[in-house]
Amino acid sequence: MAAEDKETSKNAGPGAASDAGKRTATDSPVEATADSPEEATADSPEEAAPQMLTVASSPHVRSGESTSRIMWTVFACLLPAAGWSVYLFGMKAAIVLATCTGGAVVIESLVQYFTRGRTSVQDGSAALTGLLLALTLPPGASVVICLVGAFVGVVVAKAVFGGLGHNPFNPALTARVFLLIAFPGPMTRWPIPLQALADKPQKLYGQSTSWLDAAGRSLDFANAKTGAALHSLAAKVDVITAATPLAVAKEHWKRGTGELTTYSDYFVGSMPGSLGEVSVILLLLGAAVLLIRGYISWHIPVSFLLGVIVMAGLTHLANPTRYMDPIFHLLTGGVIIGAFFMATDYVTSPTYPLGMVIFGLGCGLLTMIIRLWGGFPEGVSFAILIMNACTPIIERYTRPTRYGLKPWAEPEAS
Amino acid sequence: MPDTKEAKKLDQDAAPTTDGSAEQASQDSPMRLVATLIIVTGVAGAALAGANALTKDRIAAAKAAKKLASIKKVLPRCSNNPVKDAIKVKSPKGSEVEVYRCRSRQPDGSAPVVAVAIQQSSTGNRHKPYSGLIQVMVGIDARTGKVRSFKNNKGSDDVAVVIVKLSETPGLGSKAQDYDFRKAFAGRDLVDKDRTSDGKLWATRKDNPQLGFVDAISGATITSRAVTEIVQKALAVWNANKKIILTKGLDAPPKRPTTTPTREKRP
Amino acid sequence: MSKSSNILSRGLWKENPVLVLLLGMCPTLAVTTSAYNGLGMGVATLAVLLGSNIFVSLIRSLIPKKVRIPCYIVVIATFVTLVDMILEAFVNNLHSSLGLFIPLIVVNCIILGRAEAFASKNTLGRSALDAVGMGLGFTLTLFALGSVREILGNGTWTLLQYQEILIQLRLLSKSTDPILVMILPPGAFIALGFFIAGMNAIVARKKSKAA
Repeated sequence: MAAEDKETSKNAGPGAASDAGKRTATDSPVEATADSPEEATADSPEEAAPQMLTVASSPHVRSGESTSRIMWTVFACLLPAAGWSVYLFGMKAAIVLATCTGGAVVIESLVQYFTRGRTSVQDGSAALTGLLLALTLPPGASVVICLVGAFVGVVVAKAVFGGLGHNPFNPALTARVFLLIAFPGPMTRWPIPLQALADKPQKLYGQSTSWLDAAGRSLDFANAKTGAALHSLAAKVDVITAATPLAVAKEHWKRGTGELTTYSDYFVGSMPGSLGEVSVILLLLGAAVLLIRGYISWHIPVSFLLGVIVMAGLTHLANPTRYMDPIFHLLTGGVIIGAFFMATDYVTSPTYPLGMVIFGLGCGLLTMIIRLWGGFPEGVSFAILIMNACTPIIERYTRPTRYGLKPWAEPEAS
Repeated sequence: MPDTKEAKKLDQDAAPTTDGSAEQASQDSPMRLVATLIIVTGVAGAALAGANALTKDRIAAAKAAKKLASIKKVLPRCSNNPVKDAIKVKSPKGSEVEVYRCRSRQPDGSAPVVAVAIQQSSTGNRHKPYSGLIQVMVGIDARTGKVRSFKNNKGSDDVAVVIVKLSETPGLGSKAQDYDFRKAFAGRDLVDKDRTSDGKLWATRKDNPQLGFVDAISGATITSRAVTEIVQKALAVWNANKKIILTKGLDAPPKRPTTTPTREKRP
Repeated sequence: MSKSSNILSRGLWKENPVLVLLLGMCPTLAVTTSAYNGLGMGVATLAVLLGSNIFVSLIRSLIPKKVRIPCYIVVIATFVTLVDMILEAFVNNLHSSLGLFIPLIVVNCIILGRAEAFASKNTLGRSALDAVGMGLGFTLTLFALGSVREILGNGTWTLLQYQEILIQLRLLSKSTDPILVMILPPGAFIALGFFIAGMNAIVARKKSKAA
C-alpha cells in the first residue's frame, strides 16, 4: 500500500481533514485496491459496496460525498446564470450552452471508449467543463468553436494528462484561452442583448447605457432606448456588437474616449459580455450555495477578490481619471465566475488554507496587472492558468508540518 | 539494430585497406590536420564562389522582378518601366523616398506621367503597427491625386494599395491585405494634412465615427490605424512633390495631358 | 527484405527522423505553416543531406578522426549555402517564406547525425540511399504536418506556389473561421504531439498484435 499512502498523504494532511473528506479522489481507498493506484484518483465508483476486512489508510471518516455529486451540484449552481444568459441573448446563448455541454459529454464518452474506461463520463466533470466553457464564450460563438473548445477542454487539457485529478490546468479555462488564440475575431465579438432590451427597456436598463446610444446613432435611431425603436432595431439587424465594459475602459485610459455604463447595469448584466459574466447576482447566488454546503472554502474566492480590490484601489487612488475604481473591476468581466467557480477547482488549486490564500491573491493581482497594463482587456483566465502552474510549488511550501517535525523540513522519503 | 553492426563491420573492413595502423600516427600529425582543413575549406570556398557567380545575376533579377511585381500591381499599363523611371524626392518629414512613375505614350508622341507608385513604411508612424514593420505600396492617379481603383486581371474591383510587407498576427492584423479592408482607400486623396477633398478625415471610423472613413478590421484596430497612416503618408509625399514628379526628367517636352484616358483595365 | 531497401525504408517509418528520433525540431515546428512550406523545407533538407552524405562518404578515409567534425560541418555548410543560393535564384517566394530557416539547416541534427553515424562508415551507394530514405521521411512528415496545420489553421491546402502558378485547394469556406492557433507556434507543438501520439499508438498496436 505504499503507493496508496503517497496518494492520500498528498491531500489528507491534518489541516485539510475537513476538506480532504470532500476531495473525492482520496475518499475511497477501499475500492481503489482493485485498481492500479494511479487510477485511484481518477475513478472512484461510489456505488461499489464496501468489502469486509479491507485495510485502508486514512482518512477513515467518510463524508458520503462523491465526485459526481459535487460536480452535479456545481453544475446546478451555475444553471441560474446560464438561464439568465439565455433570457438576455436568446437562442444563440442556448445553442452555445447546449453544444459545449453536450459536446464535452460526447467527447468524454468517446475518450472513455477508446481508452477503455480510464476516464469516466458519469462523474459529471465533463458536463461541468462544458458548461463552464460555455459561460466564458461570447453568445454568438459558432457550433464549430464550441466543439473545438469542448475537445480541447476534455482531451487536450484533461485526458492527455491522465484524466480527472491529473490535469495541471483548469480544463474549461485552457479551452477558453485556446479558443481566444484560435479564433481571435469571433471570440471578441460581443453582441448587445438587443431582443431582451426591446422587451423591457425601462425596467432592465439604467439611465446611461451609452453603448446603446452609440449603436442607435450608427443605425440612425435618434433615441434607441425606447421599446419601439429597439424592436425595430432588433428586427432590422441580426446582431449589434459592442466592446465589453473592460475593453471600453482600456480604450478610455489609452485614448481618453469612450463612455461607461452604470453599475446597476453590470449587476443585472445589461452589458455586452460572455454568457457567464453578464449576471453577477445570479453567480453570487450559486456561489453562496456552494459555500454553505462546504463544497468550496472561502479562502480562494475572498483572497482573489481582495487581490483585485487592493490593486484596483491603489491604482484608482493614485490616478482616478485613468484607472477605474475597484467596484467596476469586481462587477465586470469574469472576476466573479472565476473566483468562485474556476479558481476553486479542487484539482488545480492548493489544498491548505495558507496556500489557497496565496493562490487567490496571486490570481487577483495577476488579473489586475493584465487588465491594466496587458494586451488583453480581460485577464481572469490567464491569471488563473498562471496560478494553476504555480500550484505545486505553493503546495510544497505551505504544507503543514507533521507533529514533531521541524517546520519546513523536507518530507521523509517513504 | 542489424544495420549498426553491419556498419561497424564495414568500417573495420574498410579501415585496413586505406590507412593501416602505421598510417594512424601520421594521420594525427598537426601538419596533416591543418592541411586537411585547409583543403576542405578551400574546395568549399571555391565551389561557393563558382555557384555565387552562376546565381548572382539570377538572384538580382528575381529581386528586381519582385519589386516590379508589387509596383505593377498598383499601376495601370505603362509604356515605360516604372522602376527605371524612378526619381528620388523628399517626404514632408525629410526622408528620401523613391517615386516610380508610370507613363502613357500619347498619339502626339508625348508620354506624360499618368500614375505613380510610392512605397511607405510604418517607420516614424504615430500609430505603430502591432508587431514588426508594415510596408505599403500605394498607386496614385497623377491627374487627380487620388488613390487608384481599378479592375484587376480577374475582373473584380481592386484598389492600388498593396501590402508589401507585414508581420501582424495571422487572421487578425493580416486581414489588412484583404480587399474588404483596403477598399476604404479607393479614390481618397489628401488635402490639409488629414482631410480628403470631400471633407472626410484620415482616421478609422472607430476613432471618429462621423468623419473617419476607414472601417477598422474587427480585432485589429491597431493595424488598421497603422495602415491608414501609411497610406496617408504616401499621399503626403505626392502632395509635397507633385511638380517635381510630373516634370523632372520627362522624355518628351512637357505638355498638358490630353483628354485621352489611359486604359485602366488590363486585357 | 533486402538490405538496401531496408536502409531506404527505415527513415520513412521505423527511424523516422522527426517522429521517432525527434531530430530537426526547429525547422519542423517553425516552417510547417503551410503544406508547401513543409514540402519546400523537406526537399531543401533532402538535397543537403544527399550532398553531404555522398561527399562525406567519398572523403571518409581521407579525413583524420580528430578534425572530422569541422570537416563535415564545412561540407554541410557548403551544400546549405548552395541550396540557399539556388532557392533564392529560382524559387524566390519559397526562399523568402522559409527565410532564416534555410541557413539553419547547417545545424539540423539529422544531417550531421547521418554524416557521423552512417556516411562516415559506409560506402557511397549505401550513404546515398540512407540520405534519400531519411530525407524522404523528413519531407513527408513535414508535408503532412504542414498540411494538417494549414487546413485547420487557414482552411487551405497549398501544393505549389511558383511565380504566377498557384495550386491551392480551399477546404473550408472563406466565411467559416479557421482554427487560427494551428498556424501559430503553439499549434505546431499541439499538432506534432498528436502526430507522435498517433505514431506510438500504431506501433503499440502492431506490437501487441505480433505478441
